[in-house]
Amino acid sequence: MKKSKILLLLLLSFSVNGFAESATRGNRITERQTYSQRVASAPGKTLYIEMYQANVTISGETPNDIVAEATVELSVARPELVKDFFSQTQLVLEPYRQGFRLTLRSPKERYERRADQGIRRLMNLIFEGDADGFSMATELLVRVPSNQALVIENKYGDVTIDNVNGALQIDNTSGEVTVKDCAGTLELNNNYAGAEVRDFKGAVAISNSSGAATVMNIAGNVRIENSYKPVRFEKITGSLTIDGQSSEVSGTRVGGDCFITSSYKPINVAGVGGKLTINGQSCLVTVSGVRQDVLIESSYQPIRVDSVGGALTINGQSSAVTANVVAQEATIRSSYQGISVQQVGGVLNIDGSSCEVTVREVKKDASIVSSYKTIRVDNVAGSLKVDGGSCSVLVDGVGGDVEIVNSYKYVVLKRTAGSIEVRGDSSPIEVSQITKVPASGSINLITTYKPVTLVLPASAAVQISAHTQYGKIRSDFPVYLNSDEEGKAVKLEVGNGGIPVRIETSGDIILRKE
Amino acid sequence: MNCGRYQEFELGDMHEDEFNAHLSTCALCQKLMAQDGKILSLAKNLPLPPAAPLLWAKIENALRAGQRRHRPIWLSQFQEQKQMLWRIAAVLLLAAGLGSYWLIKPPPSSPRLLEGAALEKVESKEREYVAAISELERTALPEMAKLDTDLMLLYRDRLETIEAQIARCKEALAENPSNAHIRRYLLAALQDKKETLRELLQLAG
Repeated sequence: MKKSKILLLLLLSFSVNGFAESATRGNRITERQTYSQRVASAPGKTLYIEMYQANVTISGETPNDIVAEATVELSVARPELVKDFFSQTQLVLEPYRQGFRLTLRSPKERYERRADQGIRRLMNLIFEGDADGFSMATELLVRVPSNQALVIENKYGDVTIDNVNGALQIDNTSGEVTVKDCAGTLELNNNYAGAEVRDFKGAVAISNSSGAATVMNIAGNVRIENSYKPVRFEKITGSLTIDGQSSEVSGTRVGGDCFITSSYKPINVAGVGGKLTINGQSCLVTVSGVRQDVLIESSYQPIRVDSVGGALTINGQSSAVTANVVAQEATIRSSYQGISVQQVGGVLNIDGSSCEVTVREVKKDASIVSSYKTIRVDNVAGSLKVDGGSCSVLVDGVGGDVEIVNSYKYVVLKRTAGSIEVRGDSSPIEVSQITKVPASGSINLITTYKPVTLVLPASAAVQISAHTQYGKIRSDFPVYLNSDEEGKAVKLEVGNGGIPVRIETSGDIILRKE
Repeated sequence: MNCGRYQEFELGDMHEDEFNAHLSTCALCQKLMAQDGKILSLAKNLPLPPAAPLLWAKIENALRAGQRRHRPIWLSQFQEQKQMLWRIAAVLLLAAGLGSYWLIKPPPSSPRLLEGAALEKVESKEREYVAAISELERTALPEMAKLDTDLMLLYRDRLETIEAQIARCKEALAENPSNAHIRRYLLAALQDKKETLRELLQLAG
């Protein structure tokens, strides 16, 4: 394209822009005015800031003085009112209670408060006569001594506080609140917008309804109440308490105890120095790296826990549970979903209804209750007790006694080193690779209708009594068979005898030598 | 004086080297070139106007539409004199552009107050949300009964909370319609309501 044409298009653009702007802006004008105030503060004095629809920024950077600067921006369709409005607007910094109060008194606020009848006429003109022509916004910058105590009230504006070390109290609505590099105590109440606290030394309490809360690097205890929006935390040296309603919760590194309540949204916590308690209704829960005890209650969503230094207790309802590496005892209750537990240093108790259960590496005793699904257990150093109605029970490696009650499904035991008691109902039973049976121990394998297979080591010293009502008896050991109306029975002694072995079924009995 | 070499060069009918050789000897071409240079220089110094959405697309579309139309006789005459007319049009438009810019020069940037087109755009967005919410409400609210009681109560409470926030924002905006902050939070509440209704539909479905 030739440069003269480009030039024409360029010029055309200026004109089109200009006319478009003119058409949309109408006769409205926008003006701004700045107001300032200053007063000397002192330790123990509190600054009360009462604002409405203002963005408030406070920084601790003066040696002694409170310095305030408010910029008021006004957009109005009647230009002649601007001057009056600005002339009747005041930034007030006045003695109040044990300190000072900072507020903006504009005709608009006075009009809204219906306190100043003198200005009503002007305001009626602005707000009722031509309401859609008027808008205002306020930007408040306040510089205070770094040890200044603050009480702030605001609505529909953001509040930012930086480098202030006094007691801080903030009540805000519909505005982001940010507090950073501060110390002292913080009480923050907000609604419908995010609250963020970073690098704070001291106790923090946040209440934020329908607003997100973020706390990072806090040297002190933290308490958060909120609803519907996420809560995020990181590096808190004290304790952390979160009471959320339908709030997603996630974070890492809490030095003290951690208490979390929420519902329906995921909870994800890593690195807790104290105890962790989670009460989540229908929450997906993920936890890792807790030095002390963990207590989790949830429902319908999976619960996953990795690396607990203390005891673990999980009360889940229809929750799939996965727990890995628990130093002390673990107690897990759930239903209908799988439970998988590995590396438990203490006693393990699992109470699952219709849960598939997988257990590996338990240093002490294990007790498992479930139904209808498979129970797999590998390497329990202590005793093992299983109550599994309609469960297949597959066990490999138990250091202590084994006691199993089940029905209809297989019981397979390998590498046990204690007494064995299996009471099945229509359950096939297979016991093999027995590593040891204590001298005072016994083996009782009792079921109905299904076969029982017992594989004994060649060196076994047992006294066997086996009886079947309708089945056959096959044995690698020489036996004398007694057969009568009540079925078939054998009695035999292997090795020097001693350890009693009792087998009863109405199915086949197989005795094998390893 | 009458010389058409500059026009030929502008139209691409003459090689640059040939035109440069001619330029050193032709006062008229030197004058025309100086005029164009001045206009270009003025244009470069203009402050950038606020961006108009799709302006270039609109201009290009208008130009293409113009090219497609049948060209009348006066256009043929215009073609003959177009170099001169281009220059006149350019100067006039430059004056109009500069004039209109200074006349309606925007006030200092005002991010806290929305005006004119920006306000209309936000209001339009609000209307879009309200329409989408209305549609979603029609299908989602009857589905709420399918949820279990706790969840239904939670969503009822959540929707009531959002509606309260929407009402508060609207109340504040009635007295301060251009305040960008309140508009932002009204939009956020509307968006929240839309997402909550969608979530509800997914859960019930």
